[in-house]
This record gives sequence, structure tokens and C-alpha cells, in this order.
Amino acid sequence: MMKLLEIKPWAGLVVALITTALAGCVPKDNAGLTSGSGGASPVEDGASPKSRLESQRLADATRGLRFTRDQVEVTARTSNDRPAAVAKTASAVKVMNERNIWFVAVGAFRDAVLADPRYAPAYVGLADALLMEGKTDLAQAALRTAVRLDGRDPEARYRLGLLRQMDSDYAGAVLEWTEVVKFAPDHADVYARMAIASYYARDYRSAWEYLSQAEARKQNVPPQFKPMLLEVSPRP
Amino acid sequence: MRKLALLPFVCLVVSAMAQDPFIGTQVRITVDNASNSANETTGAASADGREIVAGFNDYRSGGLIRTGVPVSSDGGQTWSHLIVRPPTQNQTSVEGDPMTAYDRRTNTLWVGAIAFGGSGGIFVARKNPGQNSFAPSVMARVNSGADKCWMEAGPRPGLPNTTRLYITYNEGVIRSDDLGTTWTTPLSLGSGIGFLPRVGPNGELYVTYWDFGTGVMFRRSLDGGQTFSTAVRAATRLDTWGTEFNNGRVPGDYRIPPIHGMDVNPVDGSITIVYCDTTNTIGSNRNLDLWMTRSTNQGTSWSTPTRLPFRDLTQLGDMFFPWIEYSQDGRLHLLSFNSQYTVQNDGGSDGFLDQDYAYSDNNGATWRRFRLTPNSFNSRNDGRPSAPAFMGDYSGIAVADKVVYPIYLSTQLGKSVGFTNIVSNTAVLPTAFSFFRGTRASGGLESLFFRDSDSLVGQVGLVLNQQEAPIQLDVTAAGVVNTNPSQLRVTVWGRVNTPSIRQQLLMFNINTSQYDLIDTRNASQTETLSDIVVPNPSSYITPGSGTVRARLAYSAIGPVTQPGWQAQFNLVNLQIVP
Repeated sequence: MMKLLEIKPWAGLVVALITTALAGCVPKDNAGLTSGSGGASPVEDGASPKSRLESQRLADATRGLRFTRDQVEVTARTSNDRPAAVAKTASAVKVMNERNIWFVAVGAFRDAVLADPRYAPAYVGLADALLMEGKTDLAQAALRTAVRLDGRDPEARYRLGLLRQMDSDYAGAVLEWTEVVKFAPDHADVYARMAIASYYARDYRSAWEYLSQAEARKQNVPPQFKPMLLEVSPRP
Repeated sequence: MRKLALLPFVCLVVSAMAQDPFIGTQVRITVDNASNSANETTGAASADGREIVAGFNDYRSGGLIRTGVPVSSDGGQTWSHLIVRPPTQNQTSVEGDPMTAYDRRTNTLWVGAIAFGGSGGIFVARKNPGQNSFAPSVMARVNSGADKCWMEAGPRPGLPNTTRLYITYNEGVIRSDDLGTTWTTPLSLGSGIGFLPRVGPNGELYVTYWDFGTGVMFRRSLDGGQTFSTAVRAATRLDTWGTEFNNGRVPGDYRIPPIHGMDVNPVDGSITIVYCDTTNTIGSNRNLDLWMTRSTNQGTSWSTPTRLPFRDLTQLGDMFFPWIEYSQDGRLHLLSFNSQYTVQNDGGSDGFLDQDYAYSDNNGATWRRFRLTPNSFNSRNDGRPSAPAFMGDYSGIAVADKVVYPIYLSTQLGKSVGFTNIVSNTAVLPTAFSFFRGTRASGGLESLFFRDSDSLVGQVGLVLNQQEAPIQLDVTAAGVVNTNPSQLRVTVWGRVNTPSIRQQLLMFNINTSQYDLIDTRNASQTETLSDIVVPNPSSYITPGSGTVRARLAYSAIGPVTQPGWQAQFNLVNLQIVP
């Protein structure tokens, strides 16, 4: 359990693999789909020196998938082969960890998704791989898909909360984590994360409440946090 | 938008410390005007500070990116602007993510970078001591998926008379025992980015990296990079964000991947990491500060992160892209972007930024900080053709034994350009002063030591003839050990309180026993730096006592309406460059 508290990019996937999704629903809401037949669209320029190259790599690695704000839709032919999806996901985790090349990892998880689009852990891994290149918007779509497929996977929702924090949506992050604690209150450092997000949202009362929960559950609270909170709000 | 009326080089006193370095004015290092934009700056310097190599992403016309390599062989005063490329068969259109390294044992410098895509990979070129060009580059690793590399040189464990080069990057670590000619295949270090290698005093290899989440991760090798400890979390950041977007955390539109700085104190072997994190929110603004954690047991355990005291918590502002280096005397040097000099909101297209240098002589317990850029520069004016802007993902510091060169970008010239300031720890402070002509109005000897609110003020006095300057300050420095330095400079921060005043520097020549006129310039009514190179330095340093005598003379060159006009000296010292 303590190892999971370290929030390794693929740690949740381990959990997700154990709690393999039994069933899910195929996304039905096609509203807001991006144009094109699949893959993220290449852009002409962007934030980094090599962004044009990276955009093309992203398009190649996600070929057969289409991203909306809320979900990943499969546009390629799939095999609905669950054992193959499980094996490909495990293999992709290894690729991501050992090779540490984002577009290779994205492609590997894409293959797992295509093997069985209803296999939620493949989307969690896909989100981790997309995050390696900073694609928080696409990663959110992948995690939302995983949550839809397996609403009882705390890690997918936990990570969705982190991604919403990355997007400066602290209130949204707390919402996701509130869902996590409903059925997995001891998951990772979820209460500590809720305390921190509440602190950033200047809801200090909630921050103290969540911090108390985190401390009671011996969750990993970054040691610099409590002094920061004390600086702006005395402990109730 | 309101801009703070802060002078350049404002010294923000955090606590009283040892003698401040002399911080020279900006020196442009990317001098080729064909370079449209420069970012991701890095650098390394020889121990004596004479030879410096820097690296940056050099944007050229046609959408090409090259590895620009500024080189100086005169201690940073003048620079040539080279382009270093991989072997022909490995060249690509985008060659960047530069890295540099220096080996004290062989006095060798390296530069390297990545050719992205195609048959690219990591390439390295060596600059042998005293040469102004690089040997042909070699491929350290051919892999089109290679990403952000950094490089370090140091002894193999327990073998001080050896040199092992390390490059860490997304695939892991590779090493070379023949000064970069051949390289091993990579050993994976796991998932992450910004793998930064540093070698400890006994050849310990330390690597830190970002885990794409909240973790500042650390791994250690005590066998020269053959095996590594399991990853430990040196610090947990409270906030987190991705590499591509800043999501309204800083003013302006550019990414700020939270890559951190790390180095080993060569004196005590302790390890310091500095990273950025969101400290608090004011209104809709998130304020990023620099945070530090340290280990005194080779990374086994880490201190509770502490916020560096560079911002009042009630003020807006962000510091990011920190870089740290220790010099051989154990002084910790830091370079960082800073948005605090202009009051502004997060987000938008315009981000007004500055570059700060700071140092600490007690492993970061207390600091002194200095603004390097004369005015805030706008992130939007980066010289690249399209938004968002790009401020690079990091900066660098080239550290010599007595001189430090922060290597950073600024858009103050209408595009992103590389700069440095010569931060010299070679200052010799005055040991005595007197007014040969004129009188002391206020201040004392210590008023000359620091550029602060305390100045020595001289007022016009009697003269024996009309040709004499009515204010003449004699300054003596003793104990100069090196009586034949490559350079002797006199640095003066001062001003006068009336127009039409001329300043002259005279130096006492030990061979003729007379004062030689060295420099003449108009004095300013605003505090101005005079950084004057004295030719033939050995003529002015007395062997044995190491005494140097300088005279600053002020006289009217036009009508002066104030009969009791004054000259104010905020800082006067000598710079002795070995």
C-alpha cells in the first residue's frame, strides 16, 4: 500500500490490472468529436522546438483513436479480445517503464485499446503515456473513458483528479477525489490531495478537515504542507 | 499594468553574508544575428574561468533548429557563435536540447545535444584545452526517440585520476571512459523526464528527475553508473502540471515543465535540489516559488522542503526554471526566471519576466539575490513565428573557481537572445581611503564594499590650481596575491549630484612612482557602473605587500550651479582575474 502512495505513473495501472474491469459501456455520446478519421491532428507549430515532429508522432501513435474532451473513441477495426488486451497492456507498461519513449508507449497502449476497447486499464495506461508528452487534455479523455468503463476503479478517478489539478481546476479535482473516497477512502494519498487542492482554492476549513483525515489514515502528506496551511489559517 | 520602479542590479539583502561578487553588465553570447530565437540555455566553464562553452536551441530560417554553441576564451568578455551538428548521416531538421560538461582533471569541455527524428540521437563534441573549435562530433546514442539529455564528468568511484562521462536522458544513462569517443548502451532509469546527473567528490553518481506527477525523484549509483539504487522521492510537490501548458500559473503563454536543479557540494558532499511549486493563490493568480530540499547522507533521506525567501507571501510573483551549481569553495549559485518585478496577472499573452542570480554560502540557509536583466522582458517577443511563446525548459550556469556565468535568455532585443553576466568572486576590497582633494561628507570605508543604501560621499574642496580636480578619492587595496594577473579592473558604482562633471581614474605606477591616467568619462547623475580595465596590471601592484593605489578624480567640464557639489561612491573595488 505504501508503494502506491508514491504515485508512480503506472502504479495505478497495477491496481487497475488487479481489479480488471468486468464490464463497461461503449461510449455513445459522439457530440464534440474532433474531425478526421483517427489520431490526434498534427499541428503546424506549438510550444516546444520539436512540436511539429511530436505532433506527427502523436498522430501516428494514436491512429485508430479519436479524442473528444470526454472520451476516446475507437475508429479502427477492433478484435474485442480481452486476453490480448490484458497481455498488451502489461507489455505496454513494461515498454513505458523501460524504454521511457512517450510515443512508443502511447502506441503500445493504443494497441491494447484496439485489442479490446472495453478494457479500462488500457485507457489508464494510455493516459499515463500521453501525460509523458504533456497531453493533459487527451489524457483526461482517456481517464474519463476508463471511469465510464469501470466506475469502481479508484486509480482512474484519482488520476483524473490529478489531471484536473494540472489544469488548475482545483475544485474539479476535489470532486473527483470525493468520488474516490466514497468507495476507497484509503486509496493512495487522496485525502492529502484534497487538502492541498482545497488550500489552493482558499477553502482552508475543508483543507484542515481533509488534512485531519489524511493524518488519521496515515496517508503521505508532504511535510511542507502543514506549515503552509498554518501560515494562512490556524488549525480549527 | 503597473511596473515597479526597481533599478537593475538591485541587491535584495536576505541576510548579511560574505563579500558579494561583482556582477558585470549583460554580455550577449548569441552574437550571430541569423539566429532568430535562442532558448534552453546551458553552459560550462574551465576551472580558471577563461574558457566557456554554452549551448542553446538556435532557431534558423526555414524552420530549422540547430545547436548554437557560444564559445569564449577570454573569460566571457567576447564570444564566438558556433553551430555544432551531429555526423552528416545523423543530421535532422531539429537539433537541440543542448548539454555541456567540464572535466577538471583534463581541463576538457564538451557540448552535446539531440538530433530529433530520422536517424538522429545524442551527439557529443569535445573541445580540448586552449582550442577555439570542437573536434568532430560523435554519436553517443542513435535513437530517434531520445529526449532531454544532460551530461556530467567526474572521477570513477575511488579512482581520482580517471574521468568518466555520463549522459542521462529519457532512455537512461550511458557513459564513456575515453573522453566521449565511445559510449555504452543505455541502462534504464525508469519512467520520467529531465534526468540530471551529478558526480560527488568520490565519484558517487546522483541522478534526479521528474516523474510526470508530483515526484522529485532521486537515484544513486556507487559503482560508476553500472547499477542504481531504487528510486526514492526526494520531495513531493504540492501542485503539479504537465509539460505542455502552464494553465494560468504564470504571466504569459509558454510552457513551464517543472524540471529542477540539483548539485553536490564538493566541500561536504551534501546534495541540494531546488524545484518550483505553487505556494499560494492571490485572487486568481497562482504564485510559484522556489523550494529546496537537501540530503546529507548521499540521498538516503531528504530534508523537509523549504521555500526560498525571495517573495513576500502577500505579493504576486513567480519564480521558475531554477538552476543551481556549486563552485569548488562550496558556494551555491542559483539562476531563475522571475516575474516579480512587474505587477501583473497570470495568463494572457504577455509575461514580463526577469532573470535573477542568487548565491548562498551556507547550503541555502540564507541567500543574496541580484537582478540580472536591466528591465523586464516580454515573453511574447521570443522571435518565433507563432504562439505560444517558448522560454525554454531550463537555464544554466557555467561555474569556474572564481567566476560564475549565468547563461540565460532575454527578449529585450525584440527576440530571444542568450546573455550572461560575469559574476566575479575575484574582488579585492579597499583597505583604506582618503580624499586627496575634497572632503568626506558622509560614509566610511565599509560604504565602498557593497552596492547598497550606504555610500561614501565626497564634497568639493580647495585646489591648488584650476587644473586640479576638486574631488579626488584615493583608494588603497592591499594583499593582492597575484602580482601578475591577466586582468586588473577597477569597478565603481557611483554618481554625482550635478551635471557637467568628468570622472577620471588614475593608477599609481610602481615603476615611475606617479599616477597614470587610465580612463576618462563623463560622470552621471544616476548611479552608474564604471568597469575599467587597467592595462599592464603588474605596473600597479606592489610585490610583497600586494598594494594597489587608485585615484578617482572629479572636475567640472562646464558651468556648475551647485558650489558644494558632491560625488557619491556606493561600491569601489578591484577585480583581479588570474
